[in-house]
Amino acid sequence: MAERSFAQRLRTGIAVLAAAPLAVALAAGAAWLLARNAGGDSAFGAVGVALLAGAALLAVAGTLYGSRLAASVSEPIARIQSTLEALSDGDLDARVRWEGRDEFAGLADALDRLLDDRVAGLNRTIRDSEELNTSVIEIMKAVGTIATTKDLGVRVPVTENVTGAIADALNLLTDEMARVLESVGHLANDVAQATFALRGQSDLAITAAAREQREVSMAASELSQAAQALVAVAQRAHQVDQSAGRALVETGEAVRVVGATIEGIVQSRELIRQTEKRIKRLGERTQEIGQVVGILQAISERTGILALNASMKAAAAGEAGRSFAVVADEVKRLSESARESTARIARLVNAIQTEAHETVRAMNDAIGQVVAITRMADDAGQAMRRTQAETGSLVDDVRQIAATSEEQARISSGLQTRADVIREASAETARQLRAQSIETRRLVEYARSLVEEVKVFRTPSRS
Amino acid sequence: MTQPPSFGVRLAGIPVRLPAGTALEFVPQASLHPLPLAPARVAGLMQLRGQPIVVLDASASRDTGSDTGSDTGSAAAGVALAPHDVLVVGTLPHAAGLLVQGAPQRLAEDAATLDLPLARVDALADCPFFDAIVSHHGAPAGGGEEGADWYDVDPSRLIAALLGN
Repeated sequence: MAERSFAQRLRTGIAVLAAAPLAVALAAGAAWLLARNAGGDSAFGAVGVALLAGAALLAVAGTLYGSRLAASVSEPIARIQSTLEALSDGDLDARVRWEGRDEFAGLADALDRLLDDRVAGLNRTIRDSEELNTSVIEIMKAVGTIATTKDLGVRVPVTENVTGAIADALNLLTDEMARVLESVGHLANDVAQATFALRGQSDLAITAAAREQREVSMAASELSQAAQALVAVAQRAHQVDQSAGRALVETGEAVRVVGATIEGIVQSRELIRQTEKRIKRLGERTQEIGQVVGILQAISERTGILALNASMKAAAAGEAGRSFAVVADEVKRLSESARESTARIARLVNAIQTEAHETVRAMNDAIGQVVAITRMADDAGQAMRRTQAETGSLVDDVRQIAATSEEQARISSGLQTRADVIREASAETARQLRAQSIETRRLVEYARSLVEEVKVFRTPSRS
Repeated sequence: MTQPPSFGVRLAGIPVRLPAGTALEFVPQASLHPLPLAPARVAGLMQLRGQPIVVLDASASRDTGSDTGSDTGSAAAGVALAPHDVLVVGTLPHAAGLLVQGAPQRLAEDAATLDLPLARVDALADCPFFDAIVSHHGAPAGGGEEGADWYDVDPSRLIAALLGN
């Protein structure tokens, strides 16, 4: 359904409003006809006719006034519409120009003034746009020159319009860019030098990584040998554990033997002491014998003297004392024999006493030696017991060492595995370092390229 | 007819032989009692079977009364001296004692009697009983000290010499 204009809708509305009284009149006529046919009141019929006529008149008058009213509204609207259509077609000089005193005339005049004002503004806008375009073109030329010549010393012309700020900003930007590029140039040189140094360090790192890889390989090999040695140590510790256990048993047996030996030595010492006492008593008896021998010696000496005196008396008596001299000689020989016997007995007694004394001294020495041996045996027993205790502690320590060695062997095996992992990681590190070296060489080239690229730009300081 | 045996003894270190038939008695370790104001060579008194006997010391000096280690002589009276071997010469009560070194020895009867060699005269010049020596014997064979010389003395002259008469 096509959109109807406001004037059409207005006429339609006025016609409808005019048709309302007609409808009322038609309704009233219809009511009267119905009442007449039914024999109704005549008075009521006359009033109905009058109302019907009046309604008809009112409807006609309303229709006429509505048409005129609609025309007064629709014409200025149509004029305004045509004016606006002309404007939209580019006729900036089109105006409504509606004369009158009603509101539409005022509206048309206001619209014409508005159009004049807007057209004038549009013209100003066009001029401003042309100036702005000119400035933009100048800016674009300057930027193009900068882009073509890479000369950051080129200045963008600054105008008074809005592009002046842009030109200032661009000039500031080029200045900052020039400064930044100079810094970038310096930094690029520094980066190039640093990259070159990095390449050297990378080469050193590769060398060090290779050496590290060799050292790690050697360490892994030595660790493997250490693991094998620890396994051997664990086995040897187990054997030592068994040997220490046997040593503990044998030490206990040795302690028992030493105890029996000490007991035997103590018995021997007691026996030697009893023997010493007996020998001392024997020495005392021999001293008594010596005393008796002394008495016998004295008797023999006195007998000898008596024989000597008898002999001298017999000699003095001369021939008369000859027989007495024979008796005196016999007494003398008897006394000499007794003296020799007592002397021999005395020598024997002295020898017995000497032997007894030597035996007692030897016994004392033996007792001393036995005491020393007993003390040594006691010390040996105590040493054995300490040895037994130490051997027990040693057995515990050896068992601990065996357990620790086995644990160390397991740990060493784990370390060997880790060493293999480290060796692989070291090899991977070496590979990564070689790749890094390649990348570093590329980085050197990039740094040189960056320096060359930065050198392309001419900055005010280099200009 | 055999000669009776003679006996020898050491007197002041000199081997002396007494003539055979001289009455002799040896008293070992006799107890001596000193005599006050006695001559130097009088060692003291001893008792023998109840009889006092004067004991003479040939080793004592005539002047000092003590010589060659003898502890006799001028000891105080009443104090017993150390026991000494004494040879009693003579028969009681006419006997005198001599301090001797060791018991008398029986000498062989066949010892040769020799003259006293002149060389020994000078050596015995200081002997207190030089005048009592009458002869010299060589070493007796089979008795006494081997190689020792024995000097024969006269007992009476010996005692007289020691008493200084």
